[in-house]
Order: sequence, then C-alpha cells, then structure tokens
Amino acid sequence: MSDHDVKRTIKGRRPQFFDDPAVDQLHGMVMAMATEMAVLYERIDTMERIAGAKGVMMREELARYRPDEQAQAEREAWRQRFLGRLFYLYREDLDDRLGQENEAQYQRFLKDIS
Amino acid sequence: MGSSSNAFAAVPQARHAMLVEPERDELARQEFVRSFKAYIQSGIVPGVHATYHGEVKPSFAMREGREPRDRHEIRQLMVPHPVFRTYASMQRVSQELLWDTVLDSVERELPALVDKGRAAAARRGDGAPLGSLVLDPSLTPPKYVTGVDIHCMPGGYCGERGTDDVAVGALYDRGVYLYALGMMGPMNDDIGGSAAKYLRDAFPDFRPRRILDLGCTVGHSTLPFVDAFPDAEVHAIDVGAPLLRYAHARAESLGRRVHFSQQDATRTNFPDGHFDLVCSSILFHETSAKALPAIVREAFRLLAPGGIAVHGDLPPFWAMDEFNQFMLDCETWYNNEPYWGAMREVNQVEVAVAAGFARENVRFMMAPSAYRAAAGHERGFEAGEFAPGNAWQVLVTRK
Repeated sequence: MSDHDVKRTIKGRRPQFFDDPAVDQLHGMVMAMATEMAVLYERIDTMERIAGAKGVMMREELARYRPDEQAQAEREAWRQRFLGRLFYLYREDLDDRLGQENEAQYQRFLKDIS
Repeated sequence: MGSSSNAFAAVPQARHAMLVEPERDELARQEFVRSFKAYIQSGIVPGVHATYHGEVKPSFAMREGREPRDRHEIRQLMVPHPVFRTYASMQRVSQELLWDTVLDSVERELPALVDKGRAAAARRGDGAPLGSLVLDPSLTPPKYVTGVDIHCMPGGYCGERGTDDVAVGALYDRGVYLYALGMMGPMNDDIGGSAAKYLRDAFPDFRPRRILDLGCTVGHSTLPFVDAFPDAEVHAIDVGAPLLRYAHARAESLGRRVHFSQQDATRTNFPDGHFDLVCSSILFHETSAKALPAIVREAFRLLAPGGIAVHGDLPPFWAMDEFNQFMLDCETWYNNEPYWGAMREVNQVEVAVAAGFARENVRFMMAPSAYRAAAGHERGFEAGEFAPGNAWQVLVTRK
C-alpha cells in the first residue's frame, strides 16, 4: 500500500492564535470531536428515517419511551463513569493535593530502582 | 450583516468518473466541515465586523483622534482581540479539517482512482482519447508553488508519491467545492465560466482558433472555454504532474477535448503568436512578484495580433474598504497564501502595459458571476475568507 498512501501534514508554518498553544490545540480537538458528533447524529437520523420508511415509527417510539427504574439506574451509573473519565486529570490533581501520596510514592519508587 | 446565510444553500457537486465518492461517514464529516465554514461566514464573521466597528475603531478614534489608517493598522488592533483570535483560529481549524476529511476518501479510493485515471485517459473501450497529456519530468516547479502547501492543502500542487499518482488532483477537486461552499457551481467552474461569458458578451465576433489556459490545476475553469468556443483547439498547462493526470482523465470522462501539458506559465514551449485566447483563473494570487509580470509578458508573446488574454481572480483591495481588506488579507497570514495580499496591491493595468499591451487595449474590471446570475444567488461582498461578491475581477488585454 506504500504506493497509495497520502500526505496528511501541511508544509508551512502553523500560526499560533493564543498565548498558550494548548488553546490552539484545544480548538482543533473540539472541532474534530464536533465533526464526529455530526457523523453520529447523521447515522441516528438515517436509522430513524429508514425505519420510518419501513413503517417502524422509531422517532415517535423514542419520543414516547420512558425508562423504567432499572434503566434509569443503569444510565445514571454510566453517566457517572463517563464524567469520571472526563474529569480524570482533575481527580488525579486532587488526589495529589490531598495527601501528596502520588509524589511520595513516586519518590520511593525512584529510590528503589536507582 | 449576516444577511448572506441564504447564499449557502448546498448545491451538490456534479459527479464525474474521477470525483471521489465519499462513504456515508466521510460524507457526513465533509458536509459538517462545509457547514462549519458556512457558519463561520454567517455566524462568526459578523461578530468580528461588529467588534471592529462597534468597539475597536471607536475606542481607537477616541484615543488617537482619527480612524485607523489602513489594513495594517487595523490588523495591529484586531490581532490581540479575543473575538478575532477565536475567528482566525476556527478558520484555520476548518481549513485543516476540510483537507483531512477529504483525504479519508482520497486515501480509501486511491488505488481505484489511479486505475480510473489510466483508463479514463486512454478512454478504454470508448474510442481514442479526445485530448492529450504530455508530462515533463525534467520540469522543476517554481518555489512559490512548492515552498508551502498553498491554502494548507497537504501535498500542495506538486505532491507525488506513487506511480501515476493523482491524489492531489482528487483532493483539490473535492476540497475546492467544499471550500467555495458550492458558490462556484456544481462544476467548480464559475471563474472560467464567468470570464468566457464576459468575452462572448463583450466581443461577440471573437472566434478564437486556439486557446491556452495557464495554471489549469484540474481544469475546473478550462472546460467552460471548451464549451464557449466549441471550434477552438484548447490547451491547458500546469506545473504539477498528478494534477494534470487527474485533469486529463476528468476532461475525458466529461467528454471534453483538452490538450494538457506540464509547463511553467512564465516560459512555455509554444511558438510566438500561437494563441488567439490566453486565460488564467485564480492563478495570479498563487504566484509571486516576479512571476506575475512574467506570466503577463508570456501571454503577450503567445498571442496572435488581435488575440485576447483574460485573467480572473478575487477582487483587489481598492475595490473594498480597509476593514474588508484586513479580513481578506487573513488568507496571507493564516492560510499559506503568501502572495495573496501583495498581489492585491499590484497595479495590473501597468503590468500589462509594461508587458507590451497598448493602454487602450487593457481593461481591469468585474465580470459578473455567470453561475450566481443563472442560479439567482445574489450576495454582497463581506470578506471572511473565500467570499466573492457577485463578480470576479478580470484583467482583459488585447494584442
């Protein structure tokens, strides 16, 4: 396949728009994620429309659907895990601050291996 | 402001054998990026205009007792502003995403595209090729083409990897449509189409026998001249081999006869006086201070007496106010278009006179957009990035 690969990088200097280059990177990441969200939205929309054309009123069924207690609990658990992943850096930072355990353990580890 | 949103009604790109066919998710990504660009134009650009006119300019005037002098001074005031930074950053990100999402389709289809290119060029099973393709592996492309990837298109115009590569042609064809938000029509051909229509209207008796298109890329604006002057022999040149392979295959698959060759527009191998019509479309702003006059001189050399050269591009700075100049000039700074701004300062009439054209035979004017006139898309000029009004700038010179 080496005969058919494509170049992805752009020759030239990339401008920096913000004082902290991390903000520039975040802009790129947010919009790349927004692009994938648009892809998912379109997939679901397509499913609903195809099902609708076949007489399965998915859109209406989805609008009517009410989760039972178990489903609600499972969803809540999923949301909490998801939020935990979203804020993993914050939690790590917090862990470090409350006890300095991470740093102390790391220093012990360095000693052990040197 | 923001009244131009209705101009972004999506006109699907016209299909042909060489055009990539995005899969469902690829298409969703590409459509999203096009929508993102349209949103920048209709939802973010008006805020930048409002910030300048409502905040930055008045406070400067208060402080200094005068208005900002020119686009350079406006730039100094605007670059630190958070509204402008977000706009400019998002514009850049949209451009990077644009090429990257199209590259997914190009990469997936490339082996087939290369084969299709070979087949289309040979018109296998469909008689002999209509036109021709002559490549020159000894040609060194000019620095202004290879120094940066113009408009951030990975690979630029000359990127070549495998045998019979057509990737950058495929990338450009699809990418330009998304970039132009469909405003150049389903065939991306509005610049050539408008110039050809202008010529037919302004010179009704003009019947060119031979036509040369300079810097043709994939032939978007070459084909309207084939249609406008069906009896003419049409030639087109560019410096990138993959572009020309793609352009030839595209023209053949669309049933248009064009003779493509790999040549530098400042010094072609055609004899003096060989052409009745020499044209170029959005070529000037991607050249250099040295190359632009050299191209006009070469056009003069190539024209037969009575022949016409027509060069189409986006509007020059004098055709807009200082703030729009500043906005348009962002392409120079942020989109790998190093000559974009400087070109808009060049007095093209004087360049043409210096090249040998008689002053009374030089016109510099706006040619109404043939596509937007036909489609009923009226829009004013409010610069974001690629945002033509209802007309293209044309330099028309007669020998």
